[in-house]
Amino acid sequence: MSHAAYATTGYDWASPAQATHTTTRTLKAQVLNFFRKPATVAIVNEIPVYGAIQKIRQLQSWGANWDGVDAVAVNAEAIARAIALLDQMYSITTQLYIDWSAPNVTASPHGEVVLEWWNREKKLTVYVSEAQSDFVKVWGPDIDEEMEDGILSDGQTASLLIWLEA
Amino acid sequence: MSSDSVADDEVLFRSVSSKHNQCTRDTSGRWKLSSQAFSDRYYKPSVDRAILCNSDPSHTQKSPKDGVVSVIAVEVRKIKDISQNDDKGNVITTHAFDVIPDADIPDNPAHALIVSTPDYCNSKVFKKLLERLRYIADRRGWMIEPQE
Repeated sequence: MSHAAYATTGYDWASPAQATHTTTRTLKAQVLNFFRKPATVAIVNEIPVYGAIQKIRQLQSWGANWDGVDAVAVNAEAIARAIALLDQMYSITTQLYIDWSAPNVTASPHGEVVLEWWNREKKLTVYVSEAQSDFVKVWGPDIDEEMEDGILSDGQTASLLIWLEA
Repeated sequence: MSSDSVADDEVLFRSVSSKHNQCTRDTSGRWKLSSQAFSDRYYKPSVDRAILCNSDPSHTQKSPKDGVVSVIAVEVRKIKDISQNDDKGNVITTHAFDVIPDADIPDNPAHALIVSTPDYCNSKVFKKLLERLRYIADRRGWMIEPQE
């Protein structure tokens, strides 16, 4: 299980200070259930980022020509990198108290994983390839004045999420 | 109408795959377009000319659940603000976009391509074009709404 999975499982539970006798018993039951496979799956499914990660994993089945017009199969390394990136982005949103919204998950015909978020007039597109991640920020139709692109570095991820949320 | 040129006022259809998440529903249930709705491996997004397919958007659907959006040829040709800069920010090239008939698909005489002059020297310009095309098509609305 990923770091995010553990973190979110803890996040969903009541804090010890708030726990009543009843909730303590409930917590014990949840802990026990957590290590039983069906319950583990149920809890993990509640994690906000999990659905998007599943969608990224499903891109493994998009083989060559998935679009019917010669698309390249989605790159396995790009899928692994996209999952790690999403995990990182989710961690940042919890640390910065930014609302998490699941991205649209698709692929480019060049084998990249494509993640897209919308917030009112703003849009963020992230292309994850086997080598790097690129972003396109959009806040209007004018390409020179209302779009910006670049290579996504670790330090930029938080600022992009803050920009999208603001 | 000659098929060897595309008039400025021609409507162009584009199929959008919901199966491949080229569109997604927002929280209000409205379908939003992904930038990948117009993507193409060879950087030449394909469209169908409405005038050559009886203005029937279903002609363009690749599968019954796919949506169909549209743009007008002149809206594509008016995109003149995509340039490539050098490291110092100086403009090296400004791209011009056109819609040209594509005779390479004999069973679809309506087929046309959105092309750039000059060709793209990297994918950055194309990615911005995709966002612009998405914006134009989104404003015009769905010719056929996709199904889940």
